[in-house]
Amino acid sequence: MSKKKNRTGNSGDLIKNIGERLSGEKENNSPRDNKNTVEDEEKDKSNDIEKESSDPDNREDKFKSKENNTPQDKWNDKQEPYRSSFIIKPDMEDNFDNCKKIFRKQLRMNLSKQNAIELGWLLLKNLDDKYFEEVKATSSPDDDLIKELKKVINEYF
Amino acid sequence: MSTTVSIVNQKGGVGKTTSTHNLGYALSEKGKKVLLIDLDPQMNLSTTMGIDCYAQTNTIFDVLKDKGLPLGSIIKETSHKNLDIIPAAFELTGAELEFARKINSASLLSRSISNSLKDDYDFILIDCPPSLGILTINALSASDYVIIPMQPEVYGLYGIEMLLSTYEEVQEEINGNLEIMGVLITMHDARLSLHKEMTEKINEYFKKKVFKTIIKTNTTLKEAQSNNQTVFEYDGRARGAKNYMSLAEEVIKYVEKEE
Repeated sequence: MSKKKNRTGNSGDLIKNIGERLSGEKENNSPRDNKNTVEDEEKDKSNDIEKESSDPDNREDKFKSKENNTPQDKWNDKQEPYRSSFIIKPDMEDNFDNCKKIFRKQLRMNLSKQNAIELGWLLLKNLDDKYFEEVKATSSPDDDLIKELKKVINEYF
Repeated sequence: MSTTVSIVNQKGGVGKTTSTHNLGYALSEKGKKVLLIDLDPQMNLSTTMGIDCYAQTNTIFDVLKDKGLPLGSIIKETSHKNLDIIPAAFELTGAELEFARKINSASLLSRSISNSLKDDYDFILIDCPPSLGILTINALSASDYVIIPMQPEVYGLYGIEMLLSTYEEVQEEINGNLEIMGVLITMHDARLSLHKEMTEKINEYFKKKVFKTIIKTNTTLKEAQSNNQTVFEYDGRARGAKNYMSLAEEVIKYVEKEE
């Protein structure tokens, strides 16, 4: 038997392994096996976003409850309600996995962890030290600090 | 907003630079505004595009080293409309030593690509060095997609296995948006049974993660390099030109589908 009959040798196994990793990568981005769970989760997310966008009072209530019903903080009032630019196109309905993937990407793009860190870094860099002295002097180390920081940011901008 | 694509494979001589140059040109021919970034200390892409890398005042190395220097300030226009380049620098050979000590050394490039720069281009293509060091990690951190050129031979497969590990780490730790656009089979010689069989298996197992376009072995591609030109400029009728135009169409289609 000619050796040349097995030209690719063990390459077939290698290709198979790599192929599995590549398809695993795809599945990580859009898991097919959790279709119902993820679908429900995203429906919930979309509903939440829609609710928050269309009902500013509801958003404000949520905000208040987080701050233990402290006096109303107007810091967030001037902010535009969050609206995703995600639009379901007709072809996405036929390709649900792709649709999910794009939706996730949109959410991540709006404020990723890296963005948050950079935003924080930018604020720290630009705020004068005197503001921080004020915060230290007037706030408790717990929840109040967040409120006070919001005030400072509001004042600064 | 631009789409950033790294052309990566730590194996040398698989067609990273040729693919970056010709794909960039083909995309610009399709009306897309393209910026090429040469991160390879060998500087082949920059040299092929007629840039004297030793004569630069400020370089990509200075930008990565100093946050104050904007990336936009070192962009060079090329003779071709819609195609600009950030050239490589000799100092990049010392990047490992220089940057490894820095905090966030993996995100130096992504930090330097400003939003205004992203708005100026449709595609940013990064030509990576043949290693999985700090420069490649920076490229992956700054990218939306990865294209992996490979020859349909066994050493190319070993390389991809190692690259996938780095890719997975970057995706997990630094850039969750990173995605493999596809493996690009290059230097395919249809006369070789080995290449035929390997390509069949790659298509079978990689499925959607391999480009339909195959870059076939083509002397014109090498002749074009010798003349510091893309294959389109050297001989637009050559098979290489058709292959890269087809790749550009596939890339545009992929990105539009994702959007």
